[in-house]
Amino acid sequence: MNRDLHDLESSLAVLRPTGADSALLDRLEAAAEGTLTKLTAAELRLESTLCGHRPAALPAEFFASLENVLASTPFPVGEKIVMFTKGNVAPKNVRRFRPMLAAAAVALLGAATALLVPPGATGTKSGSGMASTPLPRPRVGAFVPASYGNHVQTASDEGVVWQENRPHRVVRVVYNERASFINGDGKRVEIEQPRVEYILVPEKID
Amino acid sequence: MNTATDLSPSASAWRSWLEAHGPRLLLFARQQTRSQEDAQDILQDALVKLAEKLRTGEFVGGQEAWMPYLYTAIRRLAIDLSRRDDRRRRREDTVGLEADLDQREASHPWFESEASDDETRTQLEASLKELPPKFAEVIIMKIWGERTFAEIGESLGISQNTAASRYRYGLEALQRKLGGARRKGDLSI
Repeated sequence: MNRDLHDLESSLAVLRPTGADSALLDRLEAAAEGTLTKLTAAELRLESTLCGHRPAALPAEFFASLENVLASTPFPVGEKIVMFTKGNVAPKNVRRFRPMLAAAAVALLGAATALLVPPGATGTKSGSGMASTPLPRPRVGAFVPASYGNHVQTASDEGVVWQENRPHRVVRVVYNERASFINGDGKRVEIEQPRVEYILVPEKID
Repeated sequence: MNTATDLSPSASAWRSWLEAHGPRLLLFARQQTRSQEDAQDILQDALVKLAEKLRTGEFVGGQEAWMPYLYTAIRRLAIDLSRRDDRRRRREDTVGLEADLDQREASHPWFESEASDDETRTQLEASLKELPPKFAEVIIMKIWGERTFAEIGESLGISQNTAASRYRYGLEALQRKLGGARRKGDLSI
């Protein structure tokens, strides 16, 4: 080390660091005691005064754009509870119109009526002999309903929705509807159609 | 805007959530950026990130973890935006733009205003803007974001003791500024 550096080193060595001011000492002490995060009464008063000023509301257009951003996002309200978006919201448990079932019912009713009305009695009033009247056979070639049934194909858990102030589990059930028709020649026609039904089951709340 | 009955359960829940938390998040974004437009952009980007994570199931934690996540995301996005702006300002002459920006910002107050305390609100907002940003951000998160020092520390990457110290220094500085205004007689706080 040359002489100049030695001189510099000596000059630096005589300097003494300034002492910590009282505010810093207080702060270090409070940090060591774990009380630094505790506010004084005066600080709490100022905090509460400032709290009285509410942040400005979101401008309406901006609010609407944020709503659009979030519209397709499910809203979880708990570990197991998720609010659905419009696209996947479960419909209410209302049985939908089932054309095939309705057709089968109408046809069965028609067939039953035909069985009860004696031949040639159309348009006339007849109150006797109905029970002993032989059963009419269906017209040759005409199909009449022979049976109707449905069975569950799959059932799946679709999550939980919030309705009527409580969570409900949505169960999606896929049925397979089957109807068969037969004609006088003994020919049988079977028709199958899937049907989906959503069922809401109230969830247990602890 | 849709009526409540048109909304799906999630949209309705999001609306309530935005009404409750949107203003405080926007306030934080305003403090982190230079303009209302920038603040809205980064708030929207932060919410998009959150929504994406919720949709894909990547988000870790429940609803209580959303605000810490959003504060952190807003801060990071603001830093990125500030870097891009700095580079742009170095390339362009923005003297006229700065003046224009200040004028426009005056028409977007940070706080709700009632006629009786408009002066107080203006003074408070001006004092907050004058504070060193590292103090102002802690004050905004603590008072209007209702975050704890531990949560603030986590969002800012500092210890809770540092967050508390910054808060205290910030409050003292704010009090001095507001005290000056009070002595001048233009403040009721």
